[in-house]
Amino acid sequence: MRLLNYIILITVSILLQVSAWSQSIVNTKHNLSITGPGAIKASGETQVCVFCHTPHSKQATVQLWNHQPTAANYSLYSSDYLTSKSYPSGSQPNEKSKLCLACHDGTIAIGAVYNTTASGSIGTIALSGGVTTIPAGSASNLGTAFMNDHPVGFGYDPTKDAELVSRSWPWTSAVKLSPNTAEGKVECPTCHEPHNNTNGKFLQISNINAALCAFCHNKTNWAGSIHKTSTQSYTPTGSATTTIGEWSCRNCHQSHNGQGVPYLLKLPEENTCYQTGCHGTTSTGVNTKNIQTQANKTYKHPVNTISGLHKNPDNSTSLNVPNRHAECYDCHNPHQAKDGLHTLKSNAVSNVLTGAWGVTPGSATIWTQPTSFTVTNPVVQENQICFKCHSYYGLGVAVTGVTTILGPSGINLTDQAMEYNIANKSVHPVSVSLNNQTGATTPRPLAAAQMSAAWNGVGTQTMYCSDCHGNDQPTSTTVPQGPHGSAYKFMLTGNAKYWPLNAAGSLWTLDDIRNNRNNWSTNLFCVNCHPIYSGGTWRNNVHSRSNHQGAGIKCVACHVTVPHGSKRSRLIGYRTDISPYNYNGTGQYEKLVISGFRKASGPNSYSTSNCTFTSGCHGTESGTFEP
Amino acid sequence: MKFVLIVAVVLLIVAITGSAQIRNSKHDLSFTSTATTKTTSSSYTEVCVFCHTPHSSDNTSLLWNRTYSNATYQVYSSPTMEQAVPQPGGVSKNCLSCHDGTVALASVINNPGSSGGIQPVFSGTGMIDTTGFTGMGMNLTNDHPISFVYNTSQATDPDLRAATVTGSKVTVSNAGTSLTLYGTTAATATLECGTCHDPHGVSGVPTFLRASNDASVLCFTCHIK
Repeated sequence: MRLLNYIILITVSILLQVSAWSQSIVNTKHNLSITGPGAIKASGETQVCVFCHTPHSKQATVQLWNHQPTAANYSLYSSDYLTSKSYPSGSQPNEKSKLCLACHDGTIAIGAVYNTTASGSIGTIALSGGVTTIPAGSASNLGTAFMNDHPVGFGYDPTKDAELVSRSWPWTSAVKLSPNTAEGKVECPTCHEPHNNTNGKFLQISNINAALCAFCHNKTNWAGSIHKTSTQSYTPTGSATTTIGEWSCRNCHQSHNGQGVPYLLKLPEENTCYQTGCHGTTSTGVNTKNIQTQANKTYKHPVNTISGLHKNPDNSTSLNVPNRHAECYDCHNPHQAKDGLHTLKSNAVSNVLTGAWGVTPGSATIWTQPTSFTVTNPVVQENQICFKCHSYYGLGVAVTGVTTILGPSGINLTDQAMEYNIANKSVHPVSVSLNNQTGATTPRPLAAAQMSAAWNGVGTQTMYCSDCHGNDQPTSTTVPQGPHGSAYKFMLTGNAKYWPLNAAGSLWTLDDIRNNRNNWSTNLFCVNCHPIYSGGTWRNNVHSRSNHQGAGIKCVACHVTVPHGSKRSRLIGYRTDISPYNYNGTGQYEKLVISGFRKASGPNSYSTSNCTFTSGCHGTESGTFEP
Repeated sequence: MKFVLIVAVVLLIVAITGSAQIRNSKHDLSFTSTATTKTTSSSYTEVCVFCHTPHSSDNTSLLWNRTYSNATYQVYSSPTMEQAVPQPGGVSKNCLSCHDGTVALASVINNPGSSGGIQPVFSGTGMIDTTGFTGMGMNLTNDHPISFVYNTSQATDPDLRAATVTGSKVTVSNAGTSLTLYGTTAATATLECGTCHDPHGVSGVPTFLRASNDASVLCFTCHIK
């Protein structure tokens, strides 16, 4: 019984001791002594501090350092973004970081110290299992290439990057520069306290809600972005289940040894977005949308197929041949993106595109390429994102509007800033409302009766590129809507997705409509918005003419094949126009046939005098026609 | 009662194992010592005389019998130690009268025999080699700071354990290890060489430490890491 009392006494003493040490280095992987809790530890050495410190040294060193130094030369972190900000380039890690790197670059044995336990001998403390350096492949072996590690040896300059938190010196937090002055550098101890693992990863302060990251990084509009506010459940690899919002920065970034270089991404480019539970094939499909599958469809932006060309920020060179590419980041800003799709009758940037940058074309005369652009950051209108790649800015010189770049749908890419030029006679109102389309003759918009009920803002409404181009699947809460990919050419979206060919591969005709052929009412792309013929009524008197309704007379005999805009009113094209604006089929009416056109005062005011022909149709008319 | 007995036995064991063992240690510089460094004067067989004399000492303390060093030292500093470290003082000066490598081991004030006696002879330079760990030299920047007021440092560093005052004895204690600071009040007590080291030796403990540093217990006595 007395023995039992004694055992209890000892046990209590030990428990008290353990309790006192619960936050101590003794209970961390940095206790490399034989009693250490980690996999890597000494085979005999009992001292804890000796691996790093000694009370007496013969070396010129700081903080009583005892570990033999690394002689490695490190390749430093760099990025286009830092360069674009003229951010001061980094230097080799300073003494503070090199103390850590003496083990963590993997070049020096963990036990290589100057002053070992015995009376002052230089030697290497033996580790159990024959371990010498931190094993290659270990997450704590940073190596000597720092492109995938948060920069150290870099100064902190919010004047160069407004997305860094500005605060006065010296910093009073546990997070400090080294030295803790305006000239200090970010070094390992800025984030890590090697003696204390209370916060995990030996972090100086808790990183719950990415508070440690946010101590320095203040990304514009991050607080309101869906990636910060989402309450969607998320289970990070190796960590307990949390929410997307709480996991915050760490959803996409990791401070060390990520695979996406630069920017500390977990995985290269789009693969970061495609992580399990996010936007890949393993998407939960409820509050996160599977984009990976979209971008694998036949007609798509080449997100999955082109790698290594994206810059941050991109520019007219990095977006042009031979660097043309489209990564998620080219259209989306994951730091600012919010939940929600766009609404009709507007072109204002939608929630999911918030914070992206784009370009606004300068002025140009009718049907010429705008060649001056203003970078618009953040974008105000969706089209400014599209113009980055689909205008002179990313396509280069194309005097006719047509490039030599063959698009995935089989026609050469065209200059859409030229097609949507405000000086053109007719456009879809992507850039400005038709009342503001200064190049158009009156009446500028179509009559209200020529539009579906949803598009009743004639003259004042605008629209998105993504109203016509997007996912081929019906709108739902589980499928993404944007122009990521589609089974249909040109990624045409809406109920009806065929233009200029119907599902049978023939050109559309008014005969299809009059005689109800080829499922025109559900397949002809135009009828998504334009009820050409409904309720037994033709919505203009040109379409109603029976001799326009012959089976051989194709839509593309009068209208341009690329219906973005035209040098003439009402998307009419002339026989002299080039492909792909001119379909240029083999049949007589499978190509543009009109020689001259003038807009009538109303949809039912057309007569033969509004069109003139070199030959055929109703012959040559007198008077002035649109050039 | 039984518990008191156990404590008493433990204290007795500690007292025995903690007994001074200077004879034949590296601090035994007498001719008959088994240490490597010792006097070559065959008649010089006293052990204590290299540091102490019962009479005619330097009249400071500890019956000191050696010439002090006049050296000026480069002292320790660190970004995390806000207190400036002064020049070594107190008992640390006694240690440095050999260990800075500027004073001859033979610089004894009162040698054995009458009329001041004859100084012992040492081979070589007769001074501690400052390239080795025992020779601090005058550069103390890579040595643990000494002679600073412990409580002043402790006040600005939450990673240091507070000292305790018992009567006129100031100590820092943790987990059964107690280290002595030099001074009679917490406001003045300094950390000196003797805080960690017992120059007379502790049986079974290397480098003249006051106790074994297994599990770094000496370090953790002051440092909360």
